[in-house]
Amino acid sequence: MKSTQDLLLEIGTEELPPAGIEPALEQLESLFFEAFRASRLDLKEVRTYGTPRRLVVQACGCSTRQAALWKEVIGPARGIAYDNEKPTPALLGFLKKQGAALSDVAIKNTPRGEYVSVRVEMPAQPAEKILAGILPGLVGRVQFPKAMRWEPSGFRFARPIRWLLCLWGPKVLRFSVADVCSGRMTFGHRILGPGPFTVRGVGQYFTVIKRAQVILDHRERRGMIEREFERLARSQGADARIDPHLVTIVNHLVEKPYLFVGGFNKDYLKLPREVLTTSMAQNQRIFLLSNRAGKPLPRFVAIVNGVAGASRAVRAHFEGILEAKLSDSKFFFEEDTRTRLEEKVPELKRTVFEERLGSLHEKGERVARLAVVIAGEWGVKDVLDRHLKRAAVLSKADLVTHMVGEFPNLQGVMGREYALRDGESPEVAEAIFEHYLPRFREDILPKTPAGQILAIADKIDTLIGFFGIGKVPTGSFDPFSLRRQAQGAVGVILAFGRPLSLSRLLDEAQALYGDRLDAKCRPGLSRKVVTFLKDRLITILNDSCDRFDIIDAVLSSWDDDLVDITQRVKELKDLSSSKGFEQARTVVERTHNIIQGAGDEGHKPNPKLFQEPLEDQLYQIYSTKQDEIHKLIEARQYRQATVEYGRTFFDAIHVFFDKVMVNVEEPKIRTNRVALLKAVNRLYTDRVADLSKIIVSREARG
Amino acid sequence: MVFEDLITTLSAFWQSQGCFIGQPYDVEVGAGTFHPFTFFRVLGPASWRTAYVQPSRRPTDGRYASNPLRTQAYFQLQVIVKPSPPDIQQIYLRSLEAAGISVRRHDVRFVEDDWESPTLGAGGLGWEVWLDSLEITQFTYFQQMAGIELNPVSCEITYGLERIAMYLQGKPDLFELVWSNGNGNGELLYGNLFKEREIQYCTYHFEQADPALQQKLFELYEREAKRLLEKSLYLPAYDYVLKTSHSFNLLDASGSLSTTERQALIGRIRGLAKGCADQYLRQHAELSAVSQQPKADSRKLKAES
Repeated sequence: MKSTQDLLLEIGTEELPPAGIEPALEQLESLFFEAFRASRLDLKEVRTYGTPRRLVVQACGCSTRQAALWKEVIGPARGIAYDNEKPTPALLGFLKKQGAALSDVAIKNTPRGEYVSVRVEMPAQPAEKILAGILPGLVGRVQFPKAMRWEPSGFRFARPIRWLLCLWGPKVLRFSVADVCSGRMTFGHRILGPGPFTVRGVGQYFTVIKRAQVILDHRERRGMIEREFERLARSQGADARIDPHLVTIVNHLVEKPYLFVGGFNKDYLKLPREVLTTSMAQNQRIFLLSNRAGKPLPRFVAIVNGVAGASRAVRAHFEGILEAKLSDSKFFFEEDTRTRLEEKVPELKRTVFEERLGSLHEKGERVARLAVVIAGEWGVKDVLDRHLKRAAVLSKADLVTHMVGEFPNLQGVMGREYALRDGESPEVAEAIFEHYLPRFREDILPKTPAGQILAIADKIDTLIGFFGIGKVPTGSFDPFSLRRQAQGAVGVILAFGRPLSLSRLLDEAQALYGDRLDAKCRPGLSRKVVTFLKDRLITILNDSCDRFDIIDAVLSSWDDDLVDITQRVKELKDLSSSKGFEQARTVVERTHNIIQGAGDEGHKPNPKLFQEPLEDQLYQIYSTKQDEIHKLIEARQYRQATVEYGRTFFDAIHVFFDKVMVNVEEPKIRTNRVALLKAVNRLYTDRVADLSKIIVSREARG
Repeated sequence: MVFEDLITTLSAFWQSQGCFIGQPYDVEVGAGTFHPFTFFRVLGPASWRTAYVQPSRRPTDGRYASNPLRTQAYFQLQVIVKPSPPDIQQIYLRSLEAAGISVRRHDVRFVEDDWESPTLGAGGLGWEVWLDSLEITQFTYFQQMAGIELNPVSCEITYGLERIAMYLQGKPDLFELVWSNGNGNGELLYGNLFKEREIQYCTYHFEQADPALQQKLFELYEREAKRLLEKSLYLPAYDYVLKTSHSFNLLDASGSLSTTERQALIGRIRGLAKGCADQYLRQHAELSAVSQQPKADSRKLKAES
């Protein structure tokens, strides 16, 4: 018998939501590895493939039998098992039941006394038997953003499962899920090769499915689409780059891609590019072609599900539908541009931001005032006067336009477009667009000062508002995407790179809400939001810095300025293998250890209470050097500050700890010594980093 | 294939699939889902198969007859198959063939679209069916109606008749569709029948609607629905639920609702719909309890309980 075998599982479904397919395949892969491991079965490799109508897992090189497992079985107590060293019937009965011999017996010490025990081999089952048992549960564990029921058992999946093919080499593994029994039957392309087809073995499946006009491998399908798109785009003199997001969706709407070029009336090129692409992507999942300079051409590329040769009629239909959709967009555009953006602002009074947080009109006014605060902090008053106030007023007006009503993802984009048409300055228009940025992970960040300030103000206002009425994200539940908002705010603040006091900003944002916020949420509100923002910052810092202990040390210190935090993390990391850093760390760690257990005695030592010359000496050093170190810190020269701090105190602290007993009986003297060490500690840790959090590797400790 | 033939062809197809042919409901609705043959019958355990045409009104979709695809009123062919059989997609594709659409020569795709109606508290998972990139059918496995989890799951297939006819007749504009050959009296076009209506209704919805009146009507309909529910007359009560929904649609089209008001009104309609569904289910549970005790007199049993 072969010692390994290949397994193939095809979950045949009705058309799956495109976005769910690849995540489901990834889950299946890890579920397979997990299940095999848990069942003591080896497997060499798992390959997955997906189309709209099937999720396929191929497990290669699976062991055909479970690995042996020895288990210790405890029998009767020693006193019962043996009578004068002779085995009793109790022991013999136990051995018989376990299939073990007298020579297998061991004595085991347990908390309850001595017992006999034997090691028995658990029966190793054939893999096919085990797998048939675990596969149904495994299919049921695949998670989708949304799942449904369709038959009486109440089983949930993204769409109904209609067939299951499950082969173990040439054999069928039999099981059932949601009233569907597994077999060796599969189905091909809905139209071009519907089937059913019988599959003789794992290897033959791939030939059968190919003949049934299905490109099984989603990577291969995507490659085909991209190459053909490039060829067609070139033939039209167009930019050959394809929209990567849309192609992922379209790839999972077809089992056999066929691409063709179509056209539309040049008149529609008057519509903004984003309107064209949004309408095309959302309504028909087709691609706008642009020339190499990025200017839209009246041409598109459509991808269909392998219609035999995509007739002229199919193309004409696509073009006709596009015409109707674009004429609708034109209708919206014309309706919207009948009045100026400015005239739409009062309509925002009727549009709710959040029921308890008031209208979008109120939000706009708060954001405008918060923007003024930020501009003040950053000393960019010219930006403020010229563009910021105007952009703040107009920033939400596009939310009441028809176009944004139809395509919500065009918020900001339409605002910019309409502002330019109204004759607003390009800076104002850009700031309106930019204040929504970043809209998703990896999105671009605002580039203009006005856009950056508005983006921060808008997000901070949202965070304070929702936290202020207790709508705080928990676990994966974040219906208002506050994490994304916070992540965005942090990203913009860091990109701008100027100092900004979070607590001042958040207090101001809170004050602007007046009594709209819950009384019970108000105490410590801005602190809660700072913590929330810091959590986002940590994920950003973790991407660029693998020293989590340094991040932790910095965040345990002054944390009111995100830009400053980032700077400190970077500088300390760069410094972390130097002697200066090690010295500073030692000073902080040693002082930390001694002051940790002490109460809150303050950190102003009284020189009159000093008894040892070393106390005086340390205090002298502290007094003469503290200003210098302070100045370095205030100038944000953290590298120099750290080195200077370490150099200043390293020797003095060592001698001090060698010679001076801190924990003496006399409370006054003890307290005073602790206060002295606390002063030394706080000089650095209050403002730079609590280096006692640094993890020191064993080698470094020597 | 002329419009009237499309209706008879698809109806005959579903009749052959065991559906009985229903008639449209006579109160203004936004979709065939609002018809009692769908709203009530997908609740509870009993099997149900029906197909019917439902004239539907969507005031906000009006474009003064200038858009070739969007209108404020149109015709749906609604099919309910309960419980949903495993080959329902195949049956559907055969219905397209029956109507004269060659699925081999066109790009027919099932594109994810999860349908929900917040006013009815209804929702399901399924697709828009695209024919060469135009949505011609909404295909839904109902999971909920009136907020109640459904078991068995019904399949709802809603054909956009105008759009299918446009393909079949090769007309780029729905107002140019041929409704009937007219038996020798010349062609009767969709536009002859409905273009003037379309323009007048758009003018009414967007320019002449009286939001204050609609608001008042909404309140009156709501009050009547509640009163009837108190009398356990859930069927007439449901008519008034539909009327509140239509008033709501008119208010929405006139652009006079703020987001909060909108949400609040939708919530009120949903509450009424839920009331009707609950009474329907309660009554049917009682009836099936009665049918399991064939000797008992149902009136007497009700009086006693």
